[in-house]
Amino acid sequence: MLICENISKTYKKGSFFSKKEETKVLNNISFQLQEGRSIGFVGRNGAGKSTLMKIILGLERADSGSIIFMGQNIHNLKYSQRKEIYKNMQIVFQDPQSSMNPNMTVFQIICEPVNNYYKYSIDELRNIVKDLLKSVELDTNIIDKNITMLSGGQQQRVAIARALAIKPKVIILDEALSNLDMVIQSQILKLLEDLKEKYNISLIVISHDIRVVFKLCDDIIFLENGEIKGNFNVENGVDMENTAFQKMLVF
Amino acid sequence: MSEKLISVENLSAGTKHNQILYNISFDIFAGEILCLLGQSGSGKTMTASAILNMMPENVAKTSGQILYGEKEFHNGIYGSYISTIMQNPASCFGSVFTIGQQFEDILKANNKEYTNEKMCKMLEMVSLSNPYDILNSYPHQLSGGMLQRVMIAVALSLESRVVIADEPTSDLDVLGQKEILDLILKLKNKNNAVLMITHNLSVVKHVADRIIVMENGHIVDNFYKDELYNNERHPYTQKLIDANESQYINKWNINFGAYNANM
Amino acid sequence: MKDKKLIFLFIMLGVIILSAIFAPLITPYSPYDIDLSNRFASISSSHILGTDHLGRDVFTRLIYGSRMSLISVLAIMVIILVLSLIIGSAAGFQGGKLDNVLMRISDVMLTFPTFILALFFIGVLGVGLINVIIAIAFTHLAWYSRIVRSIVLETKEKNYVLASKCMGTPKLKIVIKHIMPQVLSQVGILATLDLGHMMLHVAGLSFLGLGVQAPVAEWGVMINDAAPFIRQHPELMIYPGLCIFITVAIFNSIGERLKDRYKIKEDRSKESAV
Repeated sequence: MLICENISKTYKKGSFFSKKEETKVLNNISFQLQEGRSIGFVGRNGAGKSTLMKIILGLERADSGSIIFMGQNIHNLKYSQRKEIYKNMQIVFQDPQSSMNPNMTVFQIICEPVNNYYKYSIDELRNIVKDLLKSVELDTNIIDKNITMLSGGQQQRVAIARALAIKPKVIILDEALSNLDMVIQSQILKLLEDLKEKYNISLIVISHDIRVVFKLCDDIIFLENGEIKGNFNVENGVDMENTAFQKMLVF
Repeated sequence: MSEKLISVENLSAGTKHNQILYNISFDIFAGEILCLLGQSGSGKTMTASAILNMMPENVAKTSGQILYGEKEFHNGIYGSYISTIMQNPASCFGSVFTIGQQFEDILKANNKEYTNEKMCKMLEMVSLSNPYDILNSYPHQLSGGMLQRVMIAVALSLESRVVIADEPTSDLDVLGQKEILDLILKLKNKNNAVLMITHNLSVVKHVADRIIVMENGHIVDNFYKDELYNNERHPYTQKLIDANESQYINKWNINFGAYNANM
Repeated sequence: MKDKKLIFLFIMLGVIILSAIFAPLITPYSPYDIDLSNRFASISSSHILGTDHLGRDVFTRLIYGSRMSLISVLAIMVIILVLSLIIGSAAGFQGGKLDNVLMRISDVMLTFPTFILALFFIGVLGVGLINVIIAIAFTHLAWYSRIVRSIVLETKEKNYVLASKCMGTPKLKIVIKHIMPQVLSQVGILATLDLGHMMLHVAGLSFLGLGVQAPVAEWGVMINDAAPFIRQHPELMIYPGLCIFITVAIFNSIGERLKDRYKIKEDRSKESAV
């Protein structure tokens, strides 16, 4: 479904007068995401995980390589043409507070993606939103509350509901669980596992916590300084001797 | 029985409309790492700010007292007696002075030796290579983990009796967390103690000697680390343990819990 | 949160605006009624603040003068806000060459002191209220465009804008739904701070004889009219001067209070100047 080949990315830093410094963020990353499977990326902060996510979404351009999502190369499309891609690929960010407009209510937030693709009346929309809130195990009477009135865990659930709203095939979780405390983290992990089964969604999980990734994913890639250092799948298990794996095995 | 460094007795506090802490009592003894464990909103940070006498303006202490050694609160408490490590070290350093200048100011204020050699030695102790470069750099040039180490170096060089660490690892990745926790283990010696505030049971298991569990402003459980699995625990503590354990279970048949226990 | 001083200031502002709107109901005179037999009349029950050198009722002229000041300031603000929102958000959101061109032009505009630049514009366009409005609006446009641009740049990097891009929301809709509310709330408050400043500009240009022309009731014009009689009748200059002072002070303190309340940075233009 998603095929990435030889993605490389270099950031150039430095002002007009000084010498430009180059840092290689991603080096020859290739992977495939098959239908019905989930893939996870593990690595330290600064290993290039977030940059990879932005490149997959087309928010940043790779220097070389190609990203083919459902037969289309996302970087050859103009912004207005990407709509069809985003219909099947949604994202949940790390920090729920910043990823939702603080001036909006829960209803407005979840409606935004729906309104981009379908035309519904207000009553239909309210029913859709209520169903979505139920499916992420939230109370439906928060529908008209401002997003800032909710707790961190509830906000992240709303973000997940928003990602689910247009029934995408792929949801990207960019450290979506790291800022939550432990109990809420395990609740949302369980929710994600259930939703994955229920809607048949593939997840792309980006995290520094191997427990999260191992719980949700079928394929796992270890990244270190922008390079792939280990590539495992659930059928063959993990090579316990792999240094990148051992390094991340902290908690 | 080792020395009692801080004792909190029947502490209650709250805003006008809302009580935050209910009858909190505990002691911190020399030579231990005490962990305050609880979910966000359980009042653990408020307890710490009460100990530091830095509660927000709208919160007032309604009853109880806090003893530092034998004495009540006095101004000489900061630095030599208590120092802190925060969740977000970037906000604890001013942005216009170099790390070296700020480090020096802190040492001067507490009448400690403030030569460059001494500061470099301290930075080396928290396994920062190139200490001279770090002293000459500005806070925004360092990563979160490095700044957190500088904070620990400051706490180390002040030789305070108690170090209060408020979620010191939450903003770091797992490897960074482990490195910081190892350094915090270093902070503890026979003469002083660490009060660590966290929501993460894995962190607690790694460093704690004694654990206090808080829920909605109450202390619900208070036990030594070895008793975590052995004895019957309070239902809330059990809930935290279960939440933590459930994350180890996965379809890959790898038992992360086993690795964790080895640490 | 109740701010009693802010409420008081708004009431004062309301009184000024209402008296400008209902001016004919408040005074029986017209601001243009010349009565040469009753020049320099002192304070009395028929003429609350006396009359000027042509026997016109001063109080009436002051109230009608507030109309002029308020309308011209409002017009200036509307022009500035509309244009700067378009320019600033285009430059900020689109970026690249467009941003560079627009911002270099505004840099050039920013190098001149606004009052001098306004004088220059009037020199080119000619004397008159409309030209004054255009001149003042254009001289302040650069500053506002920069502020709008910097807020847009800041908001554009927010995760909710990225998220909304990933939902396939069209660009224009992102600007209107997510970025504009942020910009409007901040720029609106900064604009109230500037209203007083603009009012001084208008009055100042009118005083110099470049703005509103003589028979029309306007505070700057009134000061100018009274200038030859400053020794005999200084109060004729003091009344309009006080009016300008009070109104400007009200606008400024409202702006300051709002700014403090919503913690808005004033020096954005300098921040993004590099």
